[in-house]
Amino acid sequence: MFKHKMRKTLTFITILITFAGIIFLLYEMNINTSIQSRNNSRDSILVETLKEALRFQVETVGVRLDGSVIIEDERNDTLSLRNVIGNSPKVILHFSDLSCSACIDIELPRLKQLREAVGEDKVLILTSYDSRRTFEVFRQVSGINSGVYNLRGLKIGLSTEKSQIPSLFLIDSSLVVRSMFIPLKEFPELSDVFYQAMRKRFLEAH
Amino acid sequence: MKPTSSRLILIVVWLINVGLVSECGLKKPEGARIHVPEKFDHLLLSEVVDSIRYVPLETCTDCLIGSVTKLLCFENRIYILDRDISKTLFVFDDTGKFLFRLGSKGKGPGEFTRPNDFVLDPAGRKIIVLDQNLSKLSFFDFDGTFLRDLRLGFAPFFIAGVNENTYACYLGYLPFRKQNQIIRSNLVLIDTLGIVKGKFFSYETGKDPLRYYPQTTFYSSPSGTVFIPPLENSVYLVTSSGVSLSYTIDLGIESLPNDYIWSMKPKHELVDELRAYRHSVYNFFETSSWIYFSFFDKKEVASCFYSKVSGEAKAASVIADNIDGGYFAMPTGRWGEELVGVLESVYLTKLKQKEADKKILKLGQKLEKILEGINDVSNPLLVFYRLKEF
Repeated sequence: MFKHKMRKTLTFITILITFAGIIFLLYEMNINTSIQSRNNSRDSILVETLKEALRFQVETVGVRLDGSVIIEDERNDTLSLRNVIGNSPKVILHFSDLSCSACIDIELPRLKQLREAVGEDKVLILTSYDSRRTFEVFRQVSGINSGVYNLRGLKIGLSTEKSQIPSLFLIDSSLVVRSMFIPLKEFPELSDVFYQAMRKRFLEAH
Repeated sequence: MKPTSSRLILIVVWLINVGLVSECGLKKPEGARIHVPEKFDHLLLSEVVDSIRYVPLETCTDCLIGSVTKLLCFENRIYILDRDISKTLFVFDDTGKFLFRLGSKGKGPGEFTRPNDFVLDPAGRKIIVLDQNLSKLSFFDFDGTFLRDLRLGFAPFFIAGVNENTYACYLGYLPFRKQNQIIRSNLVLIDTLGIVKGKFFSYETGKDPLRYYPQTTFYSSPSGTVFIPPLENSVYLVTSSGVSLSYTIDLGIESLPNDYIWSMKPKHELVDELRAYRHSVYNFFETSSWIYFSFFDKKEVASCFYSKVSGEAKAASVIADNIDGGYFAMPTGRWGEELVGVLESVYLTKLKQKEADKKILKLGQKLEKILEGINDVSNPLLVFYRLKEF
C-alpha cells in the first residue's frame, strides 16, 4: 500500500518536472528566437542604411555642383559658391536643419581636428538653415567662427539634399565632387578613415 | 485517472494559459472613437477659434533659441526645449520675458550632451531634463538651481510624468541600444530613484518594436501620460496602475492598414509608401471640451478639431485666416483651454514683405504692431488660440 502511494507520488512529481521542463524549454526557445529576430532586424536596417549611403556616394562622385548658388557667410554677406571654393580643393560638411542632429554632433569634433591639421580655409561647413537665427545659434554652439556658410534652403546639386542626409565630400576647384562619404553615427570609425584620407591628401600635397 | 491528478493537470494547463495570455501583452479595450471626416476642404479659423493672442519671446544673446523641440506652459511660465541646436532649456515668463536657461554642454552634473525631453513635477516643484546620450535625468528646482543627477540603466527617448512619484519613459525610438535590449519594452514606468516599476509594449509582443518613425505623442497630462505609438491612431493613457486605451481615431477608408509592415524598409521607401495613406496621429491635445490633433493626410499635414460636447470633428489641411489677420501655426502646446503655436521669425519677415508687396490681405492690427519689432534673427512669436465650442 505504501509502495503504491509512493509510486503514484513519484509519477506526479515526474509529470510535473516534465511539464516544468517543457515550459522552460519553450520559454527559452521563444526568447532566443526573439533575440535572433531582433539581431536580424538590426542587421537588415544597417545593411539598408549602408546600401543607401553607398548609392548616394555613387550618384554624387563626379557631379559638378552649381557654383552660381548664392550663400551667406557668418557676417550675413552673400557670395556665390564658386567664390567660396576659390582655386583650391576643399573638404565640405553639408547638412540641413532637417538632418539628423546627433550625426552632426558626432562629426563636428573630428572636423575641427581636421581643420587644425590641414588649415581652416580647406575645410568648410555648408549648412542649410531656413532661419538666420538658427544659423547664428549653430555657429555660437559649435565654436566654429570661420568657413561656415548658410544655403538657406537653396540646392547645390547633391543627391543627398532631397533626403536631408548629411554628407562629407572633397570638391576640386572646378566644383566637381571627387570623393564623398556619408557619415553614419553607427560607424564613427568609418568617418575616421575618411578624415585620415583627407588629412593625408592635403598634407602630402604640400 | 484520479480526481486529484486531473485537478493537478488542470492547474498546470491553467498556469500555461495564464503565462501565454500575459505574453500576448496588453488587452485592448475599445476606447472612445473619434471619426475624422472622409472628405474635407479648407476651414476658417473663426469656425474653431474664438480669439487669438500673441506673445513675442524676448531676443537676447543668452536666450537665442535654435529651434523649438518642445513647449510647455505652466504657472505663468513658458518652457522651451531646443534639443538640436543649442541643447538648452529656456524659461520665459508669460509675457515672453526671458528668465533663465538650464544646463550647459558637457558630461558633468547638471550638464547635457543631448537633452531630448523634459518634464515638470508640479508637486515636487522640479524641472527634470532627460539626456538621452548619457542616460540620465537632471533635476532642477523651479528657480533653475541644479539639485541632482539620476543615472538610468537604460536610454529613454522621451519622458513624461505619471504622478509625483512615477515617470513614464519611452524607449521605442532606440530599440537597439545595448541597455534597452535588457529592458526589452517600448515603455517603462520608473520611480524617483530610477527603479523600473512596470514595463509595457514589450519587444516580444504586439507590433514590431522597431519604431524608428519619429512621430510619437508622449506627454504628461493631469490624469497620466498620453501616449500614441508611431504610425498608430490609438491614444493610450499611462497611469501608475497600467496602460489603457482612451481614444481610437478613425482616419477613414484611406487610413494605413493595421497589418501594414514597415519596420524592415529603408526610411525613404517608408516615407514614399506612406504618401498613399492617412496616418500618424500626433500633437494630440485635450481639454474638458475639445480635442485637437494633427495627422498626415497623404502628402499634407492636416489638423482635426473634435468637440467633446457635440461629438463633431472638423478637419482641414488648409486653415484660412480670418481673425485679426491671424495665422494658424501648427499647435505644439496647450495652456489651459488655449492651443499654442510657434510662428518662426523667418516666416514672419516673409509675411511682412508679402504685405508690403500687397500679395496678401492686410494684417490685423495686433499682428502688424508686433511685426514692427521682428526681424529674421528674432526669437519665435507664440500664438495662443482660444478654441470655441461647436
